Amino acid sequence: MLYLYSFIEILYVALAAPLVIGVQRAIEERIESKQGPSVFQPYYDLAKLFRKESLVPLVSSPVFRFGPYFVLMLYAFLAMILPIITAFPLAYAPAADFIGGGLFFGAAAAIKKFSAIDSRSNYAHLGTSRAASIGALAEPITVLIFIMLGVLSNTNNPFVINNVLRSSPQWYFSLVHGFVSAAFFMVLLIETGQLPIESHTNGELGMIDQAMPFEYSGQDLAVYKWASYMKVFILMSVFLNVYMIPFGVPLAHSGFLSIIVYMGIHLLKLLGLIIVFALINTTVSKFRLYKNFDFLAVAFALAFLASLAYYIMQ
Amino acid sequence: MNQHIMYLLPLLFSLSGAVLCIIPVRYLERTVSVLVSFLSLAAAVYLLFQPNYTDNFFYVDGLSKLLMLTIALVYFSTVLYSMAYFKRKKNFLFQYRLYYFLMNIFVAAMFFSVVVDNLGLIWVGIEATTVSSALLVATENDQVSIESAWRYVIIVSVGLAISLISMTFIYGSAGTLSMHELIIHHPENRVFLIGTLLGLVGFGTKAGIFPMHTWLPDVHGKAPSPVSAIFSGVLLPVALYAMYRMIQINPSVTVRLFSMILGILTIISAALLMAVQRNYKRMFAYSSMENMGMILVGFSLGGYGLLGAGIIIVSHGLAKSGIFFLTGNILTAYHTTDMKGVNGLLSRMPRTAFTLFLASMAVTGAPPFGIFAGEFFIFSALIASYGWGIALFLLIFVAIAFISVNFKVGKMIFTSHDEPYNGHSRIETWIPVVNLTLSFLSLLCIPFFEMLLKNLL
Amino acid sequence: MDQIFEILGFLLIVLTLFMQWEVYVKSTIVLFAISSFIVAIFLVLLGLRNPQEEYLLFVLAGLTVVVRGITIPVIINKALHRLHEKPWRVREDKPIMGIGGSILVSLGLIMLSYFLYQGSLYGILKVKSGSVPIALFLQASLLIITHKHAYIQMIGFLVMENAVVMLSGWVFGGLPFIVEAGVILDLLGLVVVSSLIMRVRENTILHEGDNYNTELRG
Repeated sequence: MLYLYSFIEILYVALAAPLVIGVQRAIEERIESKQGPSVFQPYYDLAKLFRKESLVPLVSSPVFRFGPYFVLMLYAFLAMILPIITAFPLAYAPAADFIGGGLFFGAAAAIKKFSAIDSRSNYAHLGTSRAASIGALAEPITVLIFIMLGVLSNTNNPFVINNVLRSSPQWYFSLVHGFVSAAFFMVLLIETGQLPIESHTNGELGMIDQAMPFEYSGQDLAVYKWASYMKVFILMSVFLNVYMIPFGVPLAHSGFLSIIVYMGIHLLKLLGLIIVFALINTTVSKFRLYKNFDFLAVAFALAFLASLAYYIMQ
Repeated sequence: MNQHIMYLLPLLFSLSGAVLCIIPVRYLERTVSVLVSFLSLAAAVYLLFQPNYTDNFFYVDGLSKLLMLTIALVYFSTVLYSMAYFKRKKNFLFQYRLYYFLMNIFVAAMFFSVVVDNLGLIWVGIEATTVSSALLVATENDQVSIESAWRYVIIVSVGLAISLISMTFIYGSAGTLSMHELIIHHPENRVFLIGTLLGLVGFGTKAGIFPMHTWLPDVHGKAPSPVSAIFSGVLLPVALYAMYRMIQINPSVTVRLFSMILGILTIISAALLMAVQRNYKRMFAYSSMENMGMILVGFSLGGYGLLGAGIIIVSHGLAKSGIFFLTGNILTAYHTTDMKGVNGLLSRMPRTAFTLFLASMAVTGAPPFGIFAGEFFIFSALIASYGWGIALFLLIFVAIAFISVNFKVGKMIFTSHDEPYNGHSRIETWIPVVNLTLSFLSLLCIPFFEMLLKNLL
Repeated sequence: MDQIFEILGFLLIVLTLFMQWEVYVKSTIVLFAISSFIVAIFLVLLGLRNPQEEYLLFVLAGLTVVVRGITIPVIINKALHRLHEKPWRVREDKPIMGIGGSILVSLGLIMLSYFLYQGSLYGILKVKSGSVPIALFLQASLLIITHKHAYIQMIGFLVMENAVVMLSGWVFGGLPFIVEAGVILDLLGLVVVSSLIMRVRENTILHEGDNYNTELRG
């Protein structure tokens, strides 16, 4: 049964991820009083790209070619071990705890960077160096967040953290949880490339993540994009299911039907988060590149304040 | 209460003067200010012979009366000098009438600070002096004086915020801020101790005591001369008065040692910085700092040290205000505050030169003046309680200050000859002479001071 | 009740961090107004906790809202509007320290105040998390030190005063009413006076550049 749930989960993530992106874009366009594309536009894009041939730079090595497939594989694996549609561990969940999940994310990011470097394109190199410098500073914040949640729940297991937060209001409404959530939200903005950090235009002054797949085309690009959609989807799900709204995620005894129902609820939760993102994206203007580090400093400060609040208030 | 309202007389006079200054009648503000400053001087002299008094609002002892007298004396001479000094100035930051308004409010706040019983109200009074005097510093509307006024506001306010924390600590640990209750009994815990130490640091900011003194030379260097005079002469001692109250409510060894170390550090830093000054107003500002350090050492020692501190307060207030009036005269004649630009003072304006020479001797502690006697008392108390070593060490820095001030003043006075300058009115040159004479006469009043401070010694 | 105090205290700390982050003066003024309102809420809660001083603390909260929450920000804002044609663009352009660095130092100060408090005062006062207002005080002083813009320095000082109110209410149960009222009046006077000085200062710097450093040294 657990294997079936795992299979459903991975299918759900893979299929729903482009939809979330499409909905977010549609909402942003609606806020700006434009017609906007269909919410299914990412699917159309992927379908179109899958039908096209891939071009590979002459100077690149196989790392360039296989990078996107490895990344997709890693995100698919992460979809199986993190609490996305269930609040109990599925078949492969014992493979990694929260820190392990973080390492898988890091591995995927590293492979992306390697394949971008391997394309030997200046733009891809530019994006890589930017992404690496921001990622290197975002990493300690993530670790601090995990440590604080570990302190709250005495484990590193995302499922246990979910259970602790949903069952004990004194933690859910505590300052520590508030600060951790705020810090994670800021990290989420960085990791999913939302606006104060990154705008979705191909302006070379502000490109970070867009610059990396500059040399990909056709099928490879489709895989790359799909993996990126899945990453955003997984991170948002973790944020919602573990930190913000840990309620309602099906427990072990609740059966197959409730998991199916929860998929819908989960999409609604995501819709809420996406609306917040869309509001941010339409009201905030982009930081200059070096201002991003101030943003990171504030995120770090919030994560650090969580630990201080824990020690001061205990 | 009814007959004790007399302790508020100087305050009421200057406050009513401030109110009358607002009325836009020509020359009214000057007439009124001279009148009320004279009346408050008369009241202060009258109060000098009244008994000490304590109730829930007042706390008047010998030190309060002494300070009231000094404030009134310097107030009167400052108002007289301002009338002559500002005659040839233009480009004020605000209406000329407001200068007297603020001056009266400022003095009223000081009169208020030295008679109230509640430490919190002392804080309020001293903060009110900041509020009212900030604009006085910036009277001459140029960038440097505005900048120094701004530094004054922000540094002093931060320092006073620290002393507000100390009020919180004292109130939290003792349950009262009333001085006469705190003197009788106070808690012996660490919160109270930290409260008094923070109070010393906070009020020390206003008094130009070592760690946060940086506003003082800036302000004295750029403020108009009468304002520098009243700052140096009485504002700093009023802040020191609050510091003395801190020592008084918690006369433990730690507090005394702490304030003595602060005082000694102030003397050291002031003496060393005085030697490298090229701006004569800044140099005299550092000299004020040195004297404040000396007063604080005297306060921390108690006994004859306190008597010495009282003598220094009176005689330094008079002599230093005289010096700043004289620097105002020099500034109007030479248009520079740089010492290099000032030569041949003796032939250019003989009376100013003589007075300046004697007055700078007086403020650095040369024998026939009050400050010498005060320093003598303080040093003897220092030797009695801490031995010869520290006293000799301190004496080195006092000597450095003495030499550097008098050498530089001498260079200003006794260099090349120059044409006589006749631009000064008589009042501008005679007020410093009167102040200096009074400062000298304070030496003769030492027995009277001792009688005043009898129950504090 | 203590937990609500802690939440309010940390909210103030976060607001001060945001002031450190913010470069635009106008937003800093708004942040200060918000923090004053939080202090007023705090005073109301304090009044609910000590029924015998309820009335005075409510009056004090009202005074805080009127003076610190509304009047002072309005005065500073007006001074800003008189000085510049586009007041929303006035910003700190010469910070002593980078924003990221100053935020990290600010965190260090919060830690420092925690250890200081825990080491020296906690044993006597027995008030849990009394280090929060002390941290706020230190943060405000950092705000003053790291900025050169007069308005932000002034706001740093006002945050400091808020921190003192927090400290006195939280740890010691408040100062006597007459003193608190005097403090508020003094603050009002100070802001009126210094808004004039600030305006003239910024105006001269705007037109002549800053050349005061040659004279105010040593």
